[in-house]
Amino acid sequence: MDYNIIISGLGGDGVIFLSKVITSAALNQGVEVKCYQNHGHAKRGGSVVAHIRIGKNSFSPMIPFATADLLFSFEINEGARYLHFLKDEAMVVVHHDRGADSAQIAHLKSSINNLSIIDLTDIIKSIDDPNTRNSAMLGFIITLDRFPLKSSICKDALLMVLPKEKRGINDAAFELGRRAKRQKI
Amino acid sequence: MNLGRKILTGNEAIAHGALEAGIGVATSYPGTPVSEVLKNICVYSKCVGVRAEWSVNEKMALEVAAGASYAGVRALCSMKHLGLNTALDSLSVIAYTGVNGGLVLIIGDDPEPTSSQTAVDTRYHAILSKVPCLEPANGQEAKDFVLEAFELSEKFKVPVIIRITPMIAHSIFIVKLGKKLKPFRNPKFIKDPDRYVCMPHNTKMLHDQLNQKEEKISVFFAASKFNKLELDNAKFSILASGFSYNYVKDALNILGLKANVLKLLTTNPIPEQTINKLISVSENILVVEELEPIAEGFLSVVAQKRGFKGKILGKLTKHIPRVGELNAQIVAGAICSINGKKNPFSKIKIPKMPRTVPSLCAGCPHRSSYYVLHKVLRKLKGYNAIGDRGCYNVGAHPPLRAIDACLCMGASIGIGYGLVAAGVKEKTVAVIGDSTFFHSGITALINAVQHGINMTVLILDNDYTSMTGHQPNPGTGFDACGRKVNIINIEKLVKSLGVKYYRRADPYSLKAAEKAVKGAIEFKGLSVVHMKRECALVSQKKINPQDKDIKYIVKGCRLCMHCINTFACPALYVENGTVKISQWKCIKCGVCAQVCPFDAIKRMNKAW
Repeated sequence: MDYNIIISGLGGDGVIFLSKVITSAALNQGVEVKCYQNHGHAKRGGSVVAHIRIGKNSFSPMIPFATADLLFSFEINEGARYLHFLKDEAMVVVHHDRGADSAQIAHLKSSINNLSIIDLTDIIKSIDDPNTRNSAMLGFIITLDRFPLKSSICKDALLMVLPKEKRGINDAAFELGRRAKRQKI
Repeated sequence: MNLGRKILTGNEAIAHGALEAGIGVATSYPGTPVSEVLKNICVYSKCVGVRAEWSVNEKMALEVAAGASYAGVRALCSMKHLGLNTALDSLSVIAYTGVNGGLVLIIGDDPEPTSSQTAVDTRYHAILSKVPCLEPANGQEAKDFVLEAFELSEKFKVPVIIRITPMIAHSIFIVKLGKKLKPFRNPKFIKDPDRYVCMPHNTKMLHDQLNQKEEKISVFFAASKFNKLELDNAKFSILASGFSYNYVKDALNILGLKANVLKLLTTNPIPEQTINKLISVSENILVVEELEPIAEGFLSVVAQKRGFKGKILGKLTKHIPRVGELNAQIVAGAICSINGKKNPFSKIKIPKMPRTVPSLCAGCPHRSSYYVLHKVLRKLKGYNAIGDRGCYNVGAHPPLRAIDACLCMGASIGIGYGLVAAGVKEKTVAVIGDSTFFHSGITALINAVQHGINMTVLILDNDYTSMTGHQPNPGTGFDACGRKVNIINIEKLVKSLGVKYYRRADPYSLKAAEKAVKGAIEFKGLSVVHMKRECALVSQKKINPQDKDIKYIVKGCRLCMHCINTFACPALYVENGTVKISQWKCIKCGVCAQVCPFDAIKRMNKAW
């Protein structure tokens, strides 16, 4: 069975970065993968989305409506934008910090069965680098049920694309994200 | 396990394919979605053995590539669909003369469109120029087709178009790579005036030869492995053209339906024998293709010739919309309506979310130029500001609404001239970027100077072709490979044309810039203001270490909203009854401090 992932956020959130990491992890694990990226006006404040399709039965890199297994987003609104891509039983992970719109959270809660709202800033507060947010996100999502890629392969793929001096803190952020699953959020 | 298998975007795969084909010359003018083809040719080759360049415009790019091909060297030329409009004059003649070394054009169509002013279908250009067109359906094919296209180009002595869409160009695929080939280097132009001197006396003969080539290529395509008829023991068939094949397969998988599928990847000329095979196994045929119903029309003609009893369905029968990019949902909807099935997608609601409007970046010099221009223009009884293609047309969005029209590359001066020629009384200003000015604005300016037109031209010069990723242009000073090259001096150029009013201004110094613009607007005749300041996305990476401590803060804001409504830098926002500056977004250009009528924005040293 194929596994479809949607990643969304705003320019600078690391959507494209994480889509590359997950796609190379899939290649390293020896499964078929394709990835669609839409980042037209990323640098100019626009929304950014990536579709990843893992498995040999998918053709277009763009995920058809109602077939995504997992959506994770760095921003509440950017997550809510893509709900029509989700299967009924899909998992949704949304980063939320204090500034987020509570009406949107209520909306998400009412329309999604498997919703996790996490505060990445809180998770990585012991690391003095906000850019490690997406490593924590990756650490969190690999622990989800049915996530098809191995944790170690994902971590290797993540560390491989980072410059040497950044590997240590991102490894730490990844582990914090991974352990966050066990705590109740 | 993954030996030679890499994850690559379609553009990267094409660049690799070009090096595997041993190209000696690569040319391009930047344009979404294919800007990264030339960039990656430079990255993969390290600019060794390949002469890669960002040409001044698409016509030039194609002519340089064609010249290389005449000399027996393989050449690749990439541009977006609208660029091919510019280069079409040359392409139609190159098709007549034929090529020597393989000549392949990578053309990026934009069916949605997401970043273009029109959704032109490049296959029409291929038909018009009688040039073969291939359409890969995935990243592997994108790479392989480049090699095939060079073989095809040399076998039949014609230029070959590879048509791709953003879905291939920007998506990532697993691609199996081959070995890069050493470029063939023994350039020689063998004179053959009957062929290369394209004049009426030999054009008729060349036209006839081209028609014969077209027929031969059609037969070659029918026997080639490009197209594949997948029989599924069904009566219903689908002709899937190029990338649309993926939507067809996804839709059939989701619906659990059977259909024979013809994967058609040679979209000009469409091989009649292949179409005949499809007709012979089908009752009804749905045609799925991006943009225009070209294959559908061709299929209808062949079907009529063969006395086909079934229906041909597609865009002409309104089963598939003619506007916008296709997707699996659209194709599934068409399949369902034809086969009397319930469409599983009909109930899905797309969430209504506010559209994120792109804006000029924080610290963008174009914003300052627009601020100054409109400050001067607002004092007049009326005015028209005609924009052009580039970052600066993002200024058309509210609240700036800085330009009233925007057509195509280099058109601002011509359109502005037209308004004046028609007798429009209000002041006319044409706004054009540096890369656009070099691309085709110069000729327009010459035309305006020659005819003594009374208008103002604002050249927004930020040193790069910024919108598409900071490619160098003739004013930048380095080439595609980062090597130092000559700089074309806009000031000397403009003055040499006989422009009487030329002022150069720094958009970050509002007062001086305003003076220059005011003088230009009041000048009787053609005036040019050259606004020069490096793109903020580049300059913010080079902030002086001692300036790192500087920050701009708001103190004593009276909430007049002047900065928010007329300047609208994304770093400015309102919170708790005061305007604030996002230190994360601010690049410390200091222009907002000049904009504030109450001097409430102050430059501070962090140490304070």
